[in-house]
Amino acid sequence: MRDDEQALVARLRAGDQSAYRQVVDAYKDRLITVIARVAGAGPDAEDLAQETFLKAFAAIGRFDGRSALFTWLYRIAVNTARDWSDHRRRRPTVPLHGPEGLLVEPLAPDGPPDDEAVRREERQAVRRALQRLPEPFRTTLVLREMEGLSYEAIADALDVSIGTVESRIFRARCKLRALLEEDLT
Amino acid sequence: MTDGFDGRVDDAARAEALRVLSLLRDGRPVPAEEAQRARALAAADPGAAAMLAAWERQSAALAAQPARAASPGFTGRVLAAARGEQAQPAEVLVLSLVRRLALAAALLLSGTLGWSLAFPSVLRADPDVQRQRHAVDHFRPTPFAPDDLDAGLRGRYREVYGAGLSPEAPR
Repeated sequence: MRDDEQALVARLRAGDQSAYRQVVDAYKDRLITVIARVAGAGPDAEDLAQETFLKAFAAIGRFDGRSALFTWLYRIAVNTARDWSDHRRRRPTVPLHGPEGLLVEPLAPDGPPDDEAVRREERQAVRRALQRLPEPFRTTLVLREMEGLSYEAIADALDVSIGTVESRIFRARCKLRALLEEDLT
Repeated sequence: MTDGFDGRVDDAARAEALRVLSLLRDGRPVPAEEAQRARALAAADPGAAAMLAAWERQSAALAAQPARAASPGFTGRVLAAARGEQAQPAEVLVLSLVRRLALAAALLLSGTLGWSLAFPSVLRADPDVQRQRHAVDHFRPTPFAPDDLDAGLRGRYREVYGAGLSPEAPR
């Protein structure tokens, strides 16, 4: 853990409100995005991100500093998203925000050119396939391909070994391709 | 263990090469010999080449997914909620309840113990209970003997009405 991060964590432990604000401002967009991607939580992603921050602030005394603060936040966010996802699977509801639970890309105002339409269709197909990708492959691939985390950070965030991360990413890539082929046929 | 994996990589050599290429794609350290073998296989095998091309497209599509942004006021809401939790943290509330319960239990126990020691009770059976027990003994003279209903009723009758009276006496 870096010195400035150690100082930040010390302020968080002391209940410093400005430190809380600094952390929320720094990570809110990334956490909302990763929760939406991992759990397909459309409008609920903000509530889950808020829950993540509250859990983190309540548990900051137990943060041991072996990993970076943002990796620790990612771990809490991923667990919160998974819990929500499990709960939703047990009690299914009709989503109001589109079948994938993620952002629906708006059309360009004056009509898209053909190649842009193709690219958008491809992005939407990948998004659908990603939501069908089983856990834990989806989370691992999201953290790698969409969040750009290193293998080490992913291993920290998911509390698994580097070898497991390597294996999951490879399998997730193969499986995603298979799902995309299914989607196209 | 398959972890639910059912990707369509059948050939073991191709699968191994793709595994190595997946690592190389992300800049992971791989022994030079393995890397060379994997690259050679990918160059010679259309199936492996197609998989790599598909990974490129997937990766580009995933990276191009729109990110989410927090709505205005999100930080304020989180801080307000955090202040609320600080004012009444759940752990403190639970601990306080547990302490009160423990104190109440300790007081109750010491009171009961004190009363019992100060006023020891006399162990003596109630006369009605003793009589009832005696009646039961008519039916079963020992705990291991079978019930003898006839002898029991006669004995009970004698006990109540006296030995000189008989239930079958003529009127």
